Amino acid sequence: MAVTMAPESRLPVRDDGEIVGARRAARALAATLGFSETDLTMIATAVSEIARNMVEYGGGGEMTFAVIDGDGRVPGRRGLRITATDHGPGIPDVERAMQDGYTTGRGLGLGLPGARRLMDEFRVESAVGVGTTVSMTKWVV
Amino acid sequence: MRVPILSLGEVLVASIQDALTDRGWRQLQADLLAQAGRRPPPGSRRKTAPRGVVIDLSTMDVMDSYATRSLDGIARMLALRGAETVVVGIQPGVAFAMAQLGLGLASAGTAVDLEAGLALLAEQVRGDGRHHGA
Amino acid sequence: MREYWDFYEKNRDAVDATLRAVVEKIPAFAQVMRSMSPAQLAEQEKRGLALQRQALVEGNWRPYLEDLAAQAENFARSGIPFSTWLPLFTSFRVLLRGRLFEAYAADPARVARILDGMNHYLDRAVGVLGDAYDLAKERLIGQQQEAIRELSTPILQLREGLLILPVVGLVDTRRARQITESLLLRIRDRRAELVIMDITGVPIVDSKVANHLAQACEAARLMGAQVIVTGISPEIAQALVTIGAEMRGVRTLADLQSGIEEADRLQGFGRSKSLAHEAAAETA
Ligand SMILES: Nc1ncnc2c1ncn2[C@@H]1O[C@H](COP(=O)(O)OP(=O)(O)O)[C@@H](O)[C@H]1O
Ligand SMILES: [Mg+2]
Repeated sequence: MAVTMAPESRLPVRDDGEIVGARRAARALAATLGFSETDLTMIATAVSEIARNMVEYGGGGEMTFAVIDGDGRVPGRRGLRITATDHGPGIPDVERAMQDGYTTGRGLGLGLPGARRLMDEFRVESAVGVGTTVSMTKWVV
Repeated sequence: MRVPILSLGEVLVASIQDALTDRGWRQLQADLLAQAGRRPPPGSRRKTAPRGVVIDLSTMDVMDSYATRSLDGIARMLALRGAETVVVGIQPGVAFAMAQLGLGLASAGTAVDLEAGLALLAEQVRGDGRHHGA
Repeated sequence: MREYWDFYEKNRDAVDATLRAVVEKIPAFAQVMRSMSPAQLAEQEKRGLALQRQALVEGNWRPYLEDLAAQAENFARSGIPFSTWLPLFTSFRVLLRGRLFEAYAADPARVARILDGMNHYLDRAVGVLGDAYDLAKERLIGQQQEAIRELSTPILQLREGLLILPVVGLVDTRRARQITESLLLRIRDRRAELVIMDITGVPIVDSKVANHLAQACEAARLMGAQVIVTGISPEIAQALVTIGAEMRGVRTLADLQSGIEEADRLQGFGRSKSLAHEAAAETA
């Protein structure tokens, strides 16, 4: 039972300019939590991949960034949770989409599986015709 | 915003200053391709078209799969125009994240900084050098 | 809860005085108390009380539990065991219960309510305390392991542009990350173009480890340094091929000596100046 607390911010992601905005916002918020420089880059990269997918496949969407305090045990373990939601066509086979190299576009097929490797927790929920939500979390060591 | 391209003898140097938009990447691609194939005007000291391109990423804080694919594509196109590409200055954290994503730069050489990149190109252009490419 | 708090407030001075006597008899606590000035102690007490009030009266537990967790972490760090706390809680329970029975002997229902309130409060506090201790321990162990790992992965510069990284011991995800990060920093700082990663001392190389190593090599390559992996024993070579984890795209050689010879060749050192030659001369 994680407890979410402010600051939480919400950004629209509809084009490539807003992809850059989303990863800047993620990096800035993460920096206030005391992540290492490498962690900041990992977070920004994962955000970039997921934001790109929203623009490319999901018809644009929205990203929220929330500071998580407490991982269900003790208040004190802090993390950043990023949730990306779109109302696009959805992913028919999530398991397949999570495989390295799988793409239905012209990408490298590394966005979803790569973002999972870059973050500590990663979940995709998708329903065809309804949309896709990706939520991912990184903990400060 | 346009990436400035410097001409250093037989080599072009492009320093990417900030996160590029998609248009920014396409622009860079067009600019490099145009300049790499261009012979110098008659009477210049330099006789040949640029044979090498250095792309400096030392101020980039993220390289995602889109940017990497764009960059690799530029290197492949430049190769078709007879120019070698060397990417320099990728920072440790960025290299780490790229490797975790599974990204590589198969079509470009790499070097730690501009100086090393120019040295590598000089070797490659002379044709006696080792290849840093995979 | 509210009733419990009111009762506690009424009896606080007496209870706290007795508790202080208990605390002073526990050497570890007494030492902490002595290290603080009376003003600091009073300040901390005031703060704790305000937070407790907020929790019990307003139902806002979070600030109190956080404060408790932070204090517990400090105690854990200074090596005070969790069990030290237990007599304190026991004394508190006994003290308050005694006073409760005295005060409301005629109203057992009320006694029961206040006791429930007290127990609920104490259980919550002890729970948080215990968890905070666990977490602090985990962190401490993590930090110590990190420090040991850093010591155990030296990166040496053999000559200009050439680094050597002997990896010894088990390689898990954490350690792989630490090794890779320090290697990448060193590549930048030393402007290295070539790295020999010797894994003779790594006892187990399964597909996961092979994967980590391949990632480290790829990251180094992106920074402009080529990595040669040496020290793959016949057994490990067999295992890697059998499980299909051959580290494709990574230059591998049997032993460190071959790695150094290859480095000589790549960096263009002639026989006379080569490190391989020097090493051979020394052993001859
Ligand atoms: N938000 C989304 N909406 C619909 N489909 C998606 C979404 N995100 C990913 N996908 C699907 O998952 C596939 C894999 O995504 P990814 O791993 O990022 O690779 P790539 O973007 O290179 O195709 C995509 O090709 C697409 O079919
Ligand atoms: Mg993608």
